[in-house]
Amino acid sequence: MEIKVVKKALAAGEAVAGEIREKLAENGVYMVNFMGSPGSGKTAVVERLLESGLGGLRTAVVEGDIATTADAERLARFDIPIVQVNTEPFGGDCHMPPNLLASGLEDFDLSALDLVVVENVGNLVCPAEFDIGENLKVVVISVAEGEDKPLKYPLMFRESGLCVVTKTDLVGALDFELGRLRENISRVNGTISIIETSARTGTGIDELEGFLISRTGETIT
Amino acid sequence: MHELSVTQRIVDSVLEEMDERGLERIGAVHLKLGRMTTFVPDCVKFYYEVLTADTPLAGSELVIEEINVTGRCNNCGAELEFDEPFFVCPECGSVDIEILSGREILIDALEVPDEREVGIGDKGR
Repeated sequence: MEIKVVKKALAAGEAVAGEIREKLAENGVYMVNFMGSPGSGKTAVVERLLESGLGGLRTAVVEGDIATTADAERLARFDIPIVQVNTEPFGGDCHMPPNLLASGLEDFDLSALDLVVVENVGNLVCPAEFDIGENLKVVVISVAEGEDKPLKYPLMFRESGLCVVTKTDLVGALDFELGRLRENISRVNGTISIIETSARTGTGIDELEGFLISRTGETIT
Repeated sequence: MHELSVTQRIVDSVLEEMDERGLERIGAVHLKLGRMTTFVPDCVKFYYEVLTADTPLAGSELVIEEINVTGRCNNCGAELEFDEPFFVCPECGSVDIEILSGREILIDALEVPDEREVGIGDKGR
């Protein structure tokens, strides 16, 4: 005998993500989920954004890593609320699960915030799979990773609304063509926005800052 | 590694379902898995066997049906099926494609051995 069930396997996590989304909306908070490979420059981009001031948006950061509080310590110089979420010190979840994020967000007074920046666990595969209640998924890719990555990791690029290309100051030192990367990104996702940046030189950070300010403004007002 | 946590969620979900429906044994679990997920069917099956070993699901089979990636072009309305993750409409060239299927991780059905089969199985023990 066959019993029809039709149940989403990730329903429990999706429900938590839904609760997060609701809570953020109630408090008029926009949430951005930065994803990308380890070493792609996610933390450096977040650092530059915080330095830029983000137009006065009251910002908090959730740092996700498998282990260490290194990233939270790196951002401690900014006078903003920061929480570090570790998935499992000996090699646990490869992405930020919604339930861990929910407990991390409890540390914040959401009514006193406009923007929450989540830096997901470094990984170009798994974080794309899980809804965490964010308004915007951002994929960060450095030029050192190669132009073919959107084709090799399509889900990440398909699910994201913005691609931040990092380390563009290295283009001259690498056999890398930005045009080919853009072409590969648009084959997977023709509607994604792309911003080229360098955390070292500051190129593109203004554009990224402006993008996030305008998206936040559109959503929370 | 990557499939372990999702397989655990599948197992938990099925155990919950068995509990709610008062089922003690299950012959097979039918899972619909979209091709545009990052989960490899063989890995999910491998972990399923490991994770169910000491549960009422021990010995049950996980049957995975892969779901193709389909979509609709929002520009010309063409219904499309994709073999590769290149989402450009072959009819009109638009990139405004809405994905309709291929992202499922769905517990579709549970196969329960009918009473006669259970009886035979019990005698055999």
